Amino acid sequence: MKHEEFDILVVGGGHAGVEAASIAAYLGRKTALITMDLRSIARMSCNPAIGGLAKGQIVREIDVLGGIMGRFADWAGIQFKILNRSKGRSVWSPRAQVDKRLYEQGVQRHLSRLKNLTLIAAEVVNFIDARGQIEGVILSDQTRIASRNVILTCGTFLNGLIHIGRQKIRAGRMGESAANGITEALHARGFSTGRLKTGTPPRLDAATIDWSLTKPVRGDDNPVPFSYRSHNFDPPNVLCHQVYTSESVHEIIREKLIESPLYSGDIHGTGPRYCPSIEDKVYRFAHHSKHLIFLEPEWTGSRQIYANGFSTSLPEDVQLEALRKIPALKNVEFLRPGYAIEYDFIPPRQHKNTLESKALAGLFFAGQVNGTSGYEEAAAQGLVAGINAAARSAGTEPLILGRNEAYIGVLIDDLITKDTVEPYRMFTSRAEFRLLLRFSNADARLLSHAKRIHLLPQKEILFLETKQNLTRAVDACLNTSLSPDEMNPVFVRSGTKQLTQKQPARALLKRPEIRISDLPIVFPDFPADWGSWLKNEILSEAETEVKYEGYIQRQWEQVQKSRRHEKISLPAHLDYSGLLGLSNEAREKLSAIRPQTLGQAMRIQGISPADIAVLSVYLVRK
Amino acid sequence: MIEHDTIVAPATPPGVGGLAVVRLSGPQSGDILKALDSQHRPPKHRQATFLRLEDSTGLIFDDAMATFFRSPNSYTGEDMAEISCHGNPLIVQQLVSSCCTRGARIADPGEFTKRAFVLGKMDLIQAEAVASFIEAQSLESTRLHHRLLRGDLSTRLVALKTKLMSLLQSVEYALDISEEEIEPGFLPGLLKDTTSLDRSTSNLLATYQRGHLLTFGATVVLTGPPNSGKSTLLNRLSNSERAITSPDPGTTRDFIDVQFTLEGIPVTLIDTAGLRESRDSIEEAGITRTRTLMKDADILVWIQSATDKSPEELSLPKKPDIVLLNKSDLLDSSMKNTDPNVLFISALYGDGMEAFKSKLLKNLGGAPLLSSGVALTTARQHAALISFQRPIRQSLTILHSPNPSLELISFEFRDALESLDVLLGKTTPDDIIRAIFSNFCVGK
Repeated sequence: MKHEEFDILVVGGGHAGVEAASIAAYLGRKTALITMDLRSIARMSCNPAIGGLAKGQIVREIDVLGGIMGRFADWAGIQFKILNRSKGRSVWSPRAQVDKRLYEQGVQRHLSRLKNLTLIAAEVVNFIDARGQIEGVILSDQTRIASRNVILTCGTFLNGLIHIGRQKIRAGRMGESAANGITEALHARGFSTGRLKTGTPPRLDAATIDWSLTKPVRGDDNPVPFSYRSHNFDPPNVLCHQVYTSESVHEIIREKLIESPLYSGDIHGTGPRYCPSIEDKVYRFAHHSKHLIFLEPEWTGSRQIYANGFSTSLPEDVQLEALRKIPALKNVEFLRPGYAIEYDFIPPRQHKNTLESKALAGLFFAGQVNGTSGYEEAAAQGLVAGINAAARSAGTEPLILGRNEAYIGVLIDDLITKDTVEPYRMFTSRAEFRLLLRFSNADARLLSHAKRIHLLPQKEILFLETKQNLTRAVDACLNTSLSPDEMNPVFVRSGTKQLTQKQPARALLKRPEIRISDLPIVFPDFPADWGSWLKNEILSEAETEVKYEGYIQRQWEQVQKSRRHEKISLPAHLDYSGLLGLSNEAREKLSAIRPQTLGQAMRIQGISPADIAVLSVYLVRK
Repeated sequence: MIEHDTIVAPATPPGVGGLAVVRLSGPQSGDILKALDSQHRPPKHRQATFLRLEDSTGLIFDDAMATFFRSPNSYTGEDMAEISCHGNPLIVQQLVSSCCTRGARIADPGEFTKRAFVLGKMDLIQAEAVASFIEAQSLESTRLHHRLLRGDLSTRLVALKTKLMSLLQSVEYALDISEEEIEPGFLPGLLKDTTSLDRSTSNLLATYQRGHLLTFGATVVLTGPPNSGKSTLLNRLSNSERAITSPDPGTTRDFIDVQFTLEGIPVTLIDTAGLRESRDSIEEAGITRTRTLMKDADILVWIQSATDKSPEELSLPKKPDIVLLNKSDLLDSSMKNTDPNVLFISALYGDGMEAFKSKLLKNLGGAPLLSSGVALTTARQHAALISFQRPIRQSLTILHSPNPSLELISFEFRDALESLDVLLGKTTPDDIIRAIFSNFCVGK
């Protein structure tokens, strides 16, 4: 088969790949997505959920930047919930149970309708390159496809090896073959690779669970969507169910621990500390007498139940024996056992902040292949790589998000700066400017980028501008002065100090027990067709800006302070080995990472203030 | 900032002495040592070797002993050498310039310690203690600074940091990992631990007064009408005849100061010119300076004769902390003293001296340190610990409010952590580091 040349090639059809292909095609680039099996495009291969702590914020950001994850999660979602409601406004995070089948169908249909996108079912085994520039890829049948921009999003497929107890299967995912050859092709071009592992829990047969012994959990009654494009949002609210493990479950796991490849030494890759397997939980948190397991449907009316919290690589019979000690699962049967998978990843220190590799111009990396974990982290990188490959192809400015602008900015800066020793998952605490990065102000933070790069249709931009104008109008209303007559009934109810004279609403809203809805103010009219969640979000944002005013101010001061270092750029060809006074560790890391700014250098692990001082002095002298 | 060159400087004070020590630090230290004596074998770590010092023409100018330290096991963390030569300033100068012709350069003030800091051999608090240790004016002060130099204060601060880190981790866990609601016992526990952290910080802050006094000493200014016995008191306290005394008023025209120690605190006692309307321009100049001194004094002592029933009305720049009624030997014993700030003394016979000293100590304040105690000693340390405590206090306020927001508590905790890092010199901006080391003299 002969292929024409493409502006952009995306290798891989997971969550990173689909975002990259979708945005590149939307931006008018002639794009192809190559994947081994077109039917598994956008597959949710692990949990049937999107969003969650810090991840929900990322999905909102993806949405404002023209990505598709939020839209299709809203479309395929079957239960929505804002997590962390009791813990503070910047950490409120949307999460949805998602119908996996619907999700991949939706995304696949979307891709098939994009006019600049070609979908190719094939396996990439090598690259074509010349003088440090990528020129295309070679398929397993030796077909060559030319392109000067290639985005590699191979997930866990590079030399993937599945473990179930002592059993080993070469695969990229259960039932799908691994990709061999790419790792070696990268080695040949000077890339280094590492090995990581991740795991997935068993899928249970719904008919064999005693549901009467589980605790049902509903979603929010007033659901909030991920996407600002989900105007008519009215999702189902299906139940999930909770059960707990017990000591008798843990006993079995402890007894059979040696049969887990994680403990027998069969697995060499490092697993995520944050999404630990059940054997990890039992071993490391021995003082916990029980652990929570969510029983989540994989699609509406699904017979297949995802045992969230019971990721494992123990032998199948041990998994079953342990789970059957839980009363509700006394007779449980598996549709598929849990397993662990080891795979190659490309330590992302080898990339620039555009996700283009430093070693081979035009070759971008995104997703799990960069050592991250999670659909949302992958999608975010795919989107950024897609935007930047399109920019490179069109000769326009790339998208580089600051750490104060977006979780996506934090994500990419961390990836290219820090050592990846375990799969990287986003946390709100990774963002030093967390208070500024709320899911409910993603539009305010990122709209200017969306406008500059034309990431959204004009209609959506106008809509988001209207939303922001309304937020400002609501804020202006808070300058209204309220009299004791108007306010004191509210204060009597909340049992707080009453007013003796008029005060601006803004000052009264600062009281911890007063909500914006308590204020007797007439706010501007919202468009009639707007959902109530949107109005609530605008009011809640205005309220947050007032209540957190002092902290937001302090946070901005920190941003200003850090900007000073971000403005100092480091020469691309600086010879760190010849820079006297640096510690050996600093010399090694700086040479490997080649930070673009002094600020980035400061965030590298193992770089001391003294090393930074040496660098500053060098830059002044130069 | 740090260079990778080799520095040299005399470590002993200028002047004639039995021995003098010249220090070298930097990668060329070993080579320079070898070049100083063409017969010399390669230096060995921590071994003293005999050296016949040659100048650049090969002429031998002294016999010396040199000890070599291999990086990183040296004071600065670099290769180092300490050369003991004879204590003639000309020899010392020749040795230093011989090192310079072989590739070293003369060290900046404090540069040895700065290198030790930059290479992680000591933190900023230890580095600060180096200068204070060398200049300490009392045994108790040397002991304190030795403990600081050893890292005892740093250990205390690191303990505060560890505690705060674990609190921050528990807050972040609740925010980031646990998808369940906050457990009922969590906030009360956090409040208890934060309160205890605040208390530990206050305890450490309370050591500053005594630590600062031990390091920088106290200034006590004596003033009062002419001929009230200031100079006599000064001689009595310092056991000397430093001040000339005479029955004529106005004998002392300029200040005279003496040093003595009170429980380890180096006290500078300044005897001022007597205050009176002067007819003499020299005496008048003395009086103007007296007023400045009085303003800056840690303790202002007013002394007058007890027999002087109506003391002269004089405007002082500030109210005296202690009033001494001198010449109590001339009074009849029926006089009673009810004011605790007024003491009867006889400078001439030494009556009331112990009471005066303990009154001084009491006014200087600060609890005495335990023999193993540590203290904050510099204004920088004090200010940094205050800015550590401020956000801790703020987080306590948040914890006391209804529905405390964990993310704001985390914000305050992080703010506090940053102050501690500044204190230990983990994130100290370059300019502050420069300022600290510029107070050193050459050779340290």
